[in-house]
Amino acid sequence: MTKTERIRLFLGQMAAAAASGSHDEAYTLIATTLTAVEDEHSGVTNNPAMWETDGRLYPPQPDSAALPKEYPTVIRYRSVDHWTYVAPNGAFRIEIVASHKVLIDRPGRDGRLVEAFAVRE
Amino acid sequence: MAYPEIVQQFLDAITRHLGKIDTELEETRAGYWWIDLRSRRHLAVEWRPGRGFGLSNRRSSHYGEGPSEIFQSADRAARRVAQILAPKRDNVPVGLAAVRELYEMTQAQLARKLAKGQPAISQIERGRDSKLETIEQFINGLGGDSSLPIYLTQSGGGKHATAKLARAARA
Repeated sequence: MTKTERIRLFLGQMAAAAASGSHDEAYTLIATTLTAVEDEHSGVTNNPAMWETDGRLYPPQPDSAALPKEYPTVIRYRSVDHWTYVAPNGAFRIEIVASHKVLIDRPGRDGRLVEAFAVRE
Repeated sequence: MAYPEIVQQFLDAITRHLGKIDTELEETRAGYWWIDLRSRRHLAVEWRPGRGFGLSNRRSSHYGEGPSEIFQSADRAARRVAQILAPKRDNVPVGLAAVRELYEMTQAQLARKLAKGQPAISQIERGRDSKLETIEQFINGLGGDSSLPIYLTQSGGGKHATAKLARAARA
């Protein structure tokens, strides 16, 4: 499958998944879903320590985590062109950095979206 | 905000090459720095301690993709960014001449290093000799590595096989 097709499959599975109840649950869901898609369809061995692109799509890595000041309780994981926000209630959002276009925005088990955790100055 | 010295060197070099451009920085918990540059287009650069500067020359990356180019030197990374963000450049291929310019080497200097004539280097850069071995020698002559992963679709299935055709040790 092409990368575009794999991303579409990943996002489809994420949209269909049951809501998560915590950051760790949501983070694990994202990681296991993308890893499974890539194991099945990329043909590239899983090597998350590889920094330079190897043709495989990797889930957010713990060392890419930051706490954005506008969302002080949300962990935001960075990759080249994307942010992955994961909130303490299990909500998550994937957003393109350049355009702020949202690829997926799912609530946590309590029904709140990531945006509910924003702090306005 | 205090940046690591090498990140500051990179930012200073960007200003020298491109003038003042819109720049945002963010540090991750692991001490990595993301540098978002907005000029003609957005370009993300990541600095990792001990590993260097990673960037992608593609207009956009897929979710979960890593950088396509890595540079140890702040100045070389900045010059590569300047190539990509230079005005009126709609495509940014990694041409061999552009790579040589990043290493500040003339065709004559590279020719001497490879025991070839300068016209031979010119021919290689113009694509007259595109054998993998020649390109590998060219990159090694600049002190770099080269690798070319190939993904082949197997008949009757959706799987891909990876064949690494060339991998040169760092010169």
